[in-house]
Formats: sequence, C-alpha cells, structure tokens
Amino acid sequence: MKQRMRRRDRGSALVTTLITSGLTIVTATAYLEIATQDLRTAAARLREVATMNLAEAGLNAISQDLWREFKSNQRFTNLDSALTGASPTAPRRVMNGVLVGVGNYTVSVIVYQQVDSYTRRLTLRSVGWQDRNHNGNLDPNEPRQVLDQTLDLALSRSAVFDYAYFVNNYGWMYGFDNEQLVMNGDARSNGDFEFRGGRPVINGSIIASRNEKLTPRADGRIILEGGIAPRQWDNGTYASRQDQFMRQAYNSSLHGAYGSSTFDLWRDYVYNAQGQMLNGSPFGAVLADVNGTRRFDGTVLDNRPTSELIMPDLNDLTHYLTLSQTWRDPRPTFSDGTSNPNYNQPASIEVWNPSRNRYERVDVNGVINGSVALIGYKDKPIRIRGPITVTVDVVIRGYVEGQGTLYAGRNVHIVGDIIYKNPPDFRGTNLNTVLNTNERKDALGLAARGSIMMGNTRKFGDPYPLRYMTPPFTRGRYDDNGDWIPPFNARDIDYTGRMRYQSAYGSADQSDIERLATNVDIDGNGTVDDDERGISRIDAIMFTNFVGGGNLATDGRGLTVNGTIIAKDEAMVLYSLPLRFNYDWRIRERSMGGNPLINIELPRVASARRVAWQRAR
Amino acid sequence: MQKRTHTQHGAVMVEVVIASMLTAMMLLLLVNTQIQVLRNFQRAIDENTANMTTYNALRTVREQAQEAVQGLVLAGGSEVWLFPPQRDATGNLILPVQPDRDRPVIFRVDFHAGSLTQTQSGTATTLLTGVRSVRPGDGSYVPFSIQQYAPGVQALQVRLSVQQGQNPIWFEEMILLRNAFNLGEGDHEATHATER
Repeated sequence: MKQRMRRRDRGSALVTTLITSGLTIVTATAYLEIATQDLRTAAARLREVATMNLAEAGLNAISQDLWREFKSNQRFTNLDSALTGASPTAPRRVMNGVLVGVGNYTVSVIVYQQVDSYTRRLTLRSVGWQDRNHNGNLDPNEPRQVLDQTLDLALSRSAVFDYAYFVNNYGWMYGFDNEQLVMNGDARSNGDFEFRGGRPVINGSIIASRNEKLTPRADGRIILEGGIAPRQWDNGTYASRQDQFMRQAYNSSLHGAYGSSTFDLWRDYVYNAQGQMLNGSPFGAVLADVNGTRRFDGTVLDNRPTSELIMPDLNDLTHYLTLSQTWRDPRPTFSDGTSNPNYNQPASIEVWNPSRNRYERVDVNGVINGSVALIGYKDKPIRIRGPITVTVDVVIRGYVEGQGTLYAGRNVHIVGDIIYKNPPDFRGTNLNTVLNTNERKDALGLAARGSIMMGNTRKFGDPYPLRYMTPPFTRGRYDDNGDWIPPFNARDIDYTGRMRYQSAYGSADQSDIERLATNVDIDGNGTVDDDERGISRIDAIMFTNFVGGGNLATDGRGLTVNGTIIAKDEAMVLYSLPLRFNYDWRIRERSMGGNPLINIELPRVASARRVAWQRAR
Repeated sequence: MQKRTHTQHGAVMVEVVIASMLTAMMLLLLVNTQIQVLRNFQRAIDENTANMTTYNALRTVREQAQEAVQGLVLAGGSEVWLFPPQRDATGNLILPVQPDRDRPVIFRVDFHAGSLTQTQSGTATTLLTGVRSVRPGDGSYVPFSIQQYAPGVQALQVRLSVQQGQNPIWFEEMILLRNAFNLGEGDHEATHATER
C-alpha cells in the first residue's frame, strides 16, 4: 500500500536540503577559491623558475659551445667569419634546445664586437619558453623569459706564467733533499705532483689539480713521502738569505698590513711562509690540490679543490710570424716617466759575428727562416728586442741583452748557460725604485712549438734523459674535443727527418750541437773553461708545447734557473747539485691592474669572462 | 479501520516541535561546524594572501638583485642597497659593468611598522606588510645578508617572517648577483663590517 506523503514533511525536508546544499556550495566554492589561488601562485612561480632556468640553460649551452671552440683553436679566425655582423634582427649561431618536460630555449649571438686584437665581445640572447601547444614555435600567449648575457672571449696572458715551475702532465721532484733543491717561487701541475727521495726546500706554493683528460687520469694530488710536506724557510731565514734574483719575504712594516694599499701593490711579488686566505684567494705558501688548500703545517684554509689551468698553444706559428712582423715597442715611456728609446721600434735580434768583428742582425722583419744558432759572448751579448719567430730550431747560449721572446717553430736547444747581461735585482725597500729599476733590465722568453732541449743532444741516451722523454713517463691526453693526443716520444722522427729530441740545426749526428755546447769561449778569456761545457745557469722564461728537459749541470756546478720552466712534460736530469729556481716576477700579472711589469709578448691563452647579464628590455 | 483525528492533530504538533528542535539543533551544529570551517578557510586565505604578497615582494627583490652589480648590507641587516649597473643615455649597459652608486635600489625592513619597502629614485613603495621580527619558532633573525662565495661572486640572502593571519610563515631565498664583480678592498671592509 502506498502512503501519500504529507505536505509538512515534504516542506521540512526541502528546507533542510536547501540549507545543507547551500552551505555545501558555499564551502565548496570557498575551498575551490583557496585551492585555485594557491595553485595560481604556485603555477606562476613555477613558470617563472622554469623559463628563467631554460633561458639560463640556453646561455650556458651557447657559451660552452663557443668556449670549447675558442679554447681549442685559441684563435679568432673562425669566430670572426661566423659571427661578424650579428644583430638582434640578424642573429648568428642560433641554437635550439628542449628540456623534456620543462620547456624550450632558443639562443643566439646578437652582437659581435672586435674590442681589440686580443678581445671579442659577444652578446648572447636566450629565450626560455614553454611550448604549451607543442607546435614547436613560441606563440604570443606562451610563458617566456628573455635574458641577455655579454661575454668577452680574449687571448689573455696565461696564469701559467705565474709559476717558477709549471708542468701540465706530471710534476716531479725525485731525489732532492733539503737545500739540494731550493725553489723560490710557486710550482704547479695540471695533474699530480710528486716528491720522492727527500724533502727539498720549497719557498712558495705547490699546486696539483685533477685532470680527467690525461691517460691515466690524474687524481690531482700532491704526493708526499710519509705525507710530510717539503721544507720551507720562515720569512726571517728567507730574508737573511735573499739574493738579487729572489723575490722578497713579506714584512708588514715594509709591504703594508693586509688590506692596505701598500700591501696590494706588493702582494703578488712577495714570499710569505704562512699561507692564508685573503679575500677568497690564498696569499703566501700553501699546498693546494684536489683536497683543498692547506698550509705546509697542514692547517686547512679552504676545502675547495683546485682546477686545471689552461696552457697556451703554440700550434699556429702563423700567428707568431705575424706578431713578429707587425710588432712595435708600445711603450713611449717607462713607469718613472722617462722616455723609452726603443718606442715604436720593430722586433729585431743581433748577434756578434767574431769573424767579421761586428754585430749582425739575423732576422728579417722579426722573422728567421730555418734554424739559427745564437751565441752571446760576455762582452758581445745577443741583443734582442720584441718577439722574434724562428721557423725551425733555435740553438742558443751565452749572454743576452734586451727584452724579447724567441718563438721556435720546432725546438729550442739550450746548449750552455743563458745569462742576462743586465740582470734584475729584486732587493730594496722602495717598491717604486724596485719596479723602475727592474722594468729596464734584461728579460728573455724562449717559446717552443716543439720542445726545449737542454744540453748536448749528442750525449742523450737511455736512461738519461730519454727515459723521461718517452712513454710511459710521458703522458697522452685527450684534447677538449675528445681527440687523442699521443704521449710525446723523443725518438719519433718528425718532418725534419730527425728524432724529436735532436736539433735540426747543423749535421744530423748532432756534432754541431756538441761543438756549440762544449767548445765556445763565451767569456773570451782564451780558454774554454769547465763552466763553459755545461749548463749551470738559465736566465729565461721557458715555455714549450711538449717536453722541457735534458742533461743539465754536467759541469759539476749545479743549476740555477732565474725565470721559469713551463712544459707539458718535464725531463730535467741534474748531474750535479744544487738546483735552484728563482721566479722572475716581472712577467707576473698583478691582481691589481692585471698587467705585468714587463711585457715580452709571451704566449697567450684563451679566456672567457662574463661581463654583463640582464633581462632583455 | 477507525480514524483518530484528534490524536493525530496532537501528534503532529509534537512532531513539528520535536522536528523543529531537532532541525534547529542540527542547523546550529551545522552552522557551528561551518563557522569553524570558515575560520579555517579564512586562515588558509590569509596564508595564501601572505604567500602571494610575499612572493610578489620577493620577486621584486630578486629581479633587482639578479641584475645588481653590488650589494651593501646596512643597519644591522635590515637594509640592503643594491647598485644596478650603470647605463648610458640610451639605456644600454656601460661595459664593463660598474655599480651605479647614484641610483641605488634600497630595500628596508621596518620591524616596528612590520613592513618591507623599496626606495628607488626617492620614491618609497611598500612591498609587504605583516613582517615580524621573530621567526615562526621564535628567535630573532637578520633579513638581509651578503655572502661573497668567491672573488666576483656575491649572493644576497633574504629572510622574512610574515604574518597576515593567525600563523606566521617563514620565507628564505638566496639570490645570486649575476653582475657582481671583484670588489675593492674598501668595499669588502664595508660589507664585512655590516655583517658583523
């Protein structure tokens, strides 16, 4: 039986239902409002972060691409041809990228300027966007951010010249104990750095860095016997033993308190036994490697690992030929205001010809074709001015006067002492006096596209020094493009038909090298002394693309290097002790101003620097 | 079946009264619950509003800081001066970038007024209200600090405790100054002095 519902019952239920429904709707609406508002805020933040990071990803992608190419070539030729004329309406090198699930970027070069012969300025524009309709195009309603970044690519003076000893593949000091080796300067490797068979005196920093490109890869450690650091002199001992070639020991009363303007003038030129971090970078002697930076006593100063320093590449000799031909002395005056008599003069080199009893210029417009032997006598030194390029080998010994760099298309052979006629003297209490004096003193750079071989190559054998110039001691590596560069092998025959350690100058049996190494009366006293039959002193900045080494100190007098040695592999074998390195800080770029005291046109290295960042307006 | 009309009428009245009372109680219960729910909603709305306004304020700080060349923290960390890069008359950046010391963008937290303001070219704008001087879990804090990660790398750390409803909310962000450059010694001293 069906009972008919009464009117009152129906009304009550309806009201209740309506009220309940109304409240539910209000609640649901409020909830939705809150939920969507939060979502809107979150979505806006997400879009901002995503598009920002996409645009940054684009900037990073193109920066890395340009940098890898430039670092590999170390020349502007390709960039100039590809990017000149770039503008916002005619962008060059357009790159597109997709980060799956995040969004897209489009990036290009919109400005390309030639600031000077060593610098190019690029402005990159990157659009980070989200392709909501997945049509592959940036549509008007799609979220985006546009960033501009300005970047300088430059061929800069290389920081490898800040070191008395810089070896790319493996730094090694075997068999030196106490003052058998005294290094007054910093030493660095782009791989491991090992001390074995003694604790020499290192009055400076030692730096190693991880290198994945070497084979076998280098962990980037300073390897010490028993974990004990090399010896070092305290500042007082160092100061009491300073000679004219040694940089000064830090003395606050002389070089200023930390942070003072006086200190800033000196800080790059002084030795300080107690390394410390000042403004984020170390000052004084430290041990730095993959494990961070610490003092010689083990006090940790910084946990950040070191990183590789890029070496200049001399592969393109054409660049140096042009440099030599076009160079003019750029300094109208010296630092003290006096005029430079060589201002605007071209590069040149003269040597004394005993048979003609006169100086003879041996270059043509700064260039020497073929190989050359340059002998500087005590009273008739080699006279050099500016960068000189020799297309094959340079054989050199004796006294040198002037300031300049010899670029060799193949090897530099040092067959005897190289001595500055007017050497620098770094002592003194007045910085300006020290700078003004040493700015005019002699300075020689020796840069080899091949190797720097030291000593009488006719006597080179196994093990000394060839074992250290052949694999497995020398290391192969991968370049920045992933191409394999085999290890140096001194016994390989090169394009001259001679082994790579041999000189292309003179006869193939190296008898001319032997004669120049052992039978030249440098000091003109009528006899060839013992000191004139070996290498006991090298005043020079030495840079090589491959090996720096040979048989040294065969005259029993030890070896002093007043300058620096920079090489991929180092193979210096000492036949007598001691060995001393005195860093010539005149070539060092100071952190203030960025210029060295003297500029002898040393090899330059690719560098990149971001100079500005902004949202596109 | 006999009909009992009178009884039926009385019963209806009682039913109505009882039903009304029950309805009223139910409604009271519902309204009470609803009020509680609405309060919670209001709290959520307040938090949302705080989130949104703080987000907008932080975005303003972020955009200024990202392009800044240098930041200086003053007044014990309640004020930061951001120096944008200098521009030429056409608005292009002057390279290499240098801080435009004549046109700083100043962000200031006033704990008494509970506000975050931006001052640029002499014009002050309130970006945020409800800024508290203590963290949500108690304890004081410094709204602005500059960190020098490495030479040429500066970052601005912003911390804000904001309350615009019942519950305070904590905001913290680290912003890299993309145009930061190697500071001179004097600038370092000024920065460090304010951090101490």
